[in-house]
Amino acid sequence: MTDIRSDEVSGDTLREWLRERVAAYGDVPAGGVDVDAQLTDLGLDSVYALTLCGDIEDTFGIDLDPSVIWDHGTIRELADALAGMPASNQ
Amino acid sequence: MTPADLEQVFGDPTAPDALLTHHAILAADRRRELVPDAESALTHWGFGAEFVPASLGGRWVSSEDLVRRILPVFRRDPALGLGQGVTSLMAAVNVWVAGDERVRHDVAAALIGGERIATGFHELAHGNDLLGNECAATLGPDGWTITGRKEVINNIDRAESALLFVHTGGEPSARAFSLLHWRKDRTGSGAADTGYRFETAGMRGCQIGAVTFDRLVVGADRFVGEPGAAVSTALRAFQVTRAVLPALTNGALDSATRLALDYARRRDLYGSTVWQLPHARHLLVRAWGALLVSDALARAGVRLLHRHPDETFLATAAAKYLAPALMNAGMADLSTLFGSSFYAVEDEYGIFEKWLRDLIVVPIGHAGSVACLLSLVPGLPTWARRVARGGSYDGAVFDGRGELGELDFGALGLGVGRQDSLVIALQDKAITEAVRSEQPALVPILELWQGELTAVLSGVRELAPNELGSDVSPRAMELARRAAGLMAAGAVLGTWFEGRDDPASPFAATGDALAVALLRVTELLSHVPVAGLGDGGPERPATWPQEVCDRAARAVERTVDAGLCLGTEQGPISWKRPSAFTTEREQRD
Amino acid sequence: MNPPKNIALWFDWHAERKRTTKLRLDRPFDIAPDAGRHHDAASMAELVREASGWLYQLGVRHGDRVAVIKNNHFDFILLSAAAARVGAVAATISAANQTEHLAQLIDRLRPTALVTTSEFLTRLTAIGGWPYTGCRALLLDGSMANATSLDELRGSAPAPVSLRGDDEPMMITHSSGTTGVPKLVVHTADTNRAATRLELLPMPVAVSGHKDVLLSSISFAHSRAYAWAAAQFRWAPDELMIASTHQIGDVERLMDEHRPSIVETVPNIFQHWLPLVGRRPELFANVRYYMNTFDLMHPSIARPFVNASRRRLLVWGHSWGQSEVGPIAGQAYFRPQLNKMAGTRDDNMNNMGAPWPGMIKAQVVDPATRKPLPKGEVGDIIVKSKSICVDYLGETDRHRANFDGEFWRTGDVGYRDRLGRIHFVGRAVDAIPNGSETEIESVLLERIAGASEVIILAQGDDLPLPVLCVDGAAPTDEAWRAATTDLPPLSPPVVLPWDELPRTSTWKVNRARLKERLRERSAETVGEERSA
Repeated sequence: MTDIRSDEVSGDTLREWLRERVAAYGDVPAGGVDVDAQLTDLGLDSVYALTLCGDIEDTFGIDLDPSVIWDHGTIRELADALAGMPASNQ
Repeated sequence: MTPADLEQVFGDPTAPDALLTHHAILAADRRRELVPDAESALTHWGFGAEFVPASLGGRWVSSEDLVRRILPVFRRDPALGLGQGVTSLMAAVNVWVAGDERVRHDVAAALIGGERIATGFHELAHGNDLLGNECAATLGPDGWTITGRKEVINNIDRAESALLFVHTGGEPSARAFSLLHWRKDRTGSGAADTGYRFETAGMRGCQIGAVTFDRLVVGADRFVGEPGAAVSTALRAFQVTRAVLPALTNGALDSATRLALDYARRRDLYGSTVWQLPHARHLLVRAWGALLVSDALARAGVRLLHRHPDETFLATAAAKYLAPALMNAGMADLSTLFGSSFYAVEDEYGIFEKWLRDLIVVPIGHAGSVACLLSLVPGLPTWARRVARGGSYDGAVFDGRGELGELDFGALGLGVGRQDSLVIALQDKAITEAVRSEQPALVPILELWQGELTAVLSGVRELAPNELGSDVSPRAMELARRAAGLMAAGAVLGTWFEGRDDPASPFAATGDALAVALLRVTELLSHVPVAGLGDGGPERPATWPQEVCDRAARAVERTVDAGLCLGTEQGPISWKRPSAFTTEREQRD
Repeated sequence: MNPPKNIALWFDWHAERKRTTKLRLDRPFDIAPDAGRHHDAASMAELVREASGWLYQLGVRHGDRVAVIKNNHFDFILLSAAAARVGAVAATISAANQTEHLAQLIDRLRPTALVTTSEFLTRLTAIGGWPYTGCRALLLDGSMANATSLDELRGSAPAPVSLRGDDEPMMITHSSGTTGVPKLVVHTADTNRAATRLELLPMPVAVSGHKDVLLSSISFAHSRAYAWAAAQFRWAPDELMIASTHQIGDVERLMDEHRPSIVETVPNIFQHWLPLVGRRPELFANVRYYMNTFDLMHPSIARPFVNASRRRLLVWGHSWGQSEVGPIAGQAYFRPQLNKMAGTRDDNMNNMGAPWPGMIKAQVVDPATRKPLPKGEVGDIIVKSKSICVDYLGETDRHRANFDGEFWRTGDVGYRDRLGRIHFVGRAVDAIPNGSETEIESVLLERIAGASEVIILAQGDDLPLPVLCVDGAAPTDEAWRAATTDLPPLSPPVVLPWDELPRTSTWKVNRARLKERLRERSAETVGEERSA
């Protein structure tokens, strides 16, 4: 997994990365994933949010609580929220 | 006031004039009650204050000290521990995590004042699936109107208040539930019926009931935490109970082992005592091993709450999953030792049968084993990455002599820790070196576990994302189980490493304690190949060397004869005078 | 809701509350000899206002100091409140100290007023300590030259209220003075509140309920009494019974009038009351909580009291603290536990409990290097807290010298156990090699038939010297050997009559003076032998 720092990363990059992850989870092509659809409609349950959280932390170097994922219903909203987060002290 | 030692308060459970005897416990259990004198003594002793942080006027600073102070209850009667207060602890931790100043002070005062708080989460139809719960509350002009049912709730009838997990909005999701503090003397219209009582096979003295809400109205301000935060709060709060409860229930296995030893040394069998049979010693030592492993893991989990709260979501799930399994296995070994006579509930060993029934029921009302294992699954990929990255070894996680300051409830999270301070003991060079030089015979077992670590890490890397969500795959579950085993093995090694110079540690008392603990934990390694993993997992070691069993058996005898308890901290059970005179210095911990 | 921090306001605050408590005294207040033995919130608040008027009339103003030297009674607290109302600081001191020492304390205080009785003023005059420049005496009983009698001041207008800040000195008490002249311990409203915080927490058992009847026979001149008073106004139990004289006759009368449910005093007074509990155990039948402060308690003294109670569940609260620091730790003991200890090597109450979390930190340090020692090792006990007194009046250097950084030296020696509880071994100055003199004292008190007091005196390189008081015959050589076989080596014991033991104002045995006295005696003996 590549290491990308979030303060260098735009909402765009995050959105694309998230789209890929959601697609992999649902075993569907990334192109078919709508960034404005509800994550739950895309099949992403609150349990998987826990896994995703760790992936985001390790990829983008931020400290993230899974409830942040629960609070942002779509890929676009989540990407925007993450883009604003400072890097952690890992 | 620092409370009196409960061992002193309760006295010798075999002495007729003690406050809490095995005899009285059994008699009460037959009536489906707890010993009334013991309940009131505990209330008087201030049991509730144990669950209130010192900053709110209670006694709780170090969680390990809390365990130490309450262990005497669980050494005699786990049902008393549960029925009297541990379920109040479960409710209270949610309040300490998420409650505002007002509700924290309310609940603190209630607990210190001797009140009970029931924990109303569970619904039979949904088992461990919190998100499936149906009991719901809707907001009206007078407050929250609650309708629905909660089942298998300890003390729901006699508790003065209850913490309720209710659906408060939207599609079932992690944000759809809230926690409400229901005070029975402060409700509006509507009704709550708490009359039903479940009859369980174990913990019979506990009043396990149900509550049916019929449009019961509670104040709009009765939230604990933000609306919608119940799942997040509970998952944090229960890490504390998942660590503390196994450490406490180990007390029952401690007592059972001591009781079995007493039985074996006294019971005549074909002209000699049971204790003279090698197989009997083997069984007892196996039980001791289960206790050592379970205690090492549970106590490490308790210390992690203070020292590395970022790691406890996984570590405490592992402890709560493995501890009951180990404990029940230990009790099964001991019941074989007792032979058919353990069904004879009338005689002095009858208490064993009650403990056996109680311990099987321990998970009731708390997350069952499967739920704990499920908690480990989503974090596996992150966990594997971070374990592979390594970290720094923290001996304080395994050492009972350290200081633990007040718990930071706000530091508990839902993620994976920055490192795994338990598994790191398997990777640490100094520990590996110490095993090589001090316990060379155990090097093969150590290497077995180091190989297991590599195998599990690579197995996790092969998992697909969709095996980790709510449709967990069998191989993901298996890897979670093996991850828990790795944590236990790490805890055993770390506790040995730190305990070698601790006079209260079994690892200082005898070199065979490490062998016994490692042999026992290695039995967790499955030798059944799991599809997709390829290497089939390590072979299970065949048998326990009899000379190890014999030496270990003698070590257990010495410990028990010295008036000490069993576990990873062998402290004096002070109602028993030690058989050899010890000076003031030796008696000090 | 807690009382205000400034003592000047306590009595008014109490009088305005919905629930108040009332007092039953063993004798009328020295400041109100005709007002009888019963007082309530309103009468006490009124007395405080009046007393502040007397002091004002006498010339006491904001910033002054007032010495209150008289016999023990709860009105020490009222007088302190009265002084605080005008912005002065009262030093409450028991008259049961040596006159020379009290004269020195007056000199340190340089008070504007001395509130006292004729008995003390006579003593003071006899040694040339009175008159004292710049100081006027308020005589509570009778009249004397060089003093203003209470009668002359009655009807004084109430004083204007002029409060001091919370961080300024508010009260002065004295340490018990086992070694030399007592020290004057200065507390502010803040440090006093820090020491009182404990009592204001809703703790199980220890806190007074509305139905509780408390019997208190402590020294009301000491800091403990201040914290106690504030707390009792807050919890408002049914009644507070004040046993100011500690004497059995007076206590018996109080208990006949009303049976207490909580009893507090110091260990030596409990010991003094042993004949009472022996003769009339029913007086203690309703006690659910015994508490001792100040000194180390011995279980053999506690046992008759706990066994006299008919309550099923009762607790003995052993509180450890110092005037300079307030409460440090406290340990609860249950009755079966106390009974089971009897005769064993563990027959002591040296376990002080864990230091009150969040309020005080304690460390055990190496006496030489002052570095913290691990659990289980014996060393000097030092504590850190917001409740530490701000000064020894007139001896600021000594106050400052008693710190290790931010930690105050308690002068006690002990160790911490696994659970962080502190076990007391002895006083640093009294330390004997190879053992704890207090543990040995406890054990011998139980084992020697008829023993009413056991003191083990350190003698440097010589073996420690046991001093015994016994009812009846002294122990035979055989009995002594049997009692001491498992103890560290001791010199042969000296037996003394109980009243010959020199004591402080809190009834503690003054070990330094005892040693002196024994030296004098043996010198006399040698002298006699020589001259024979």
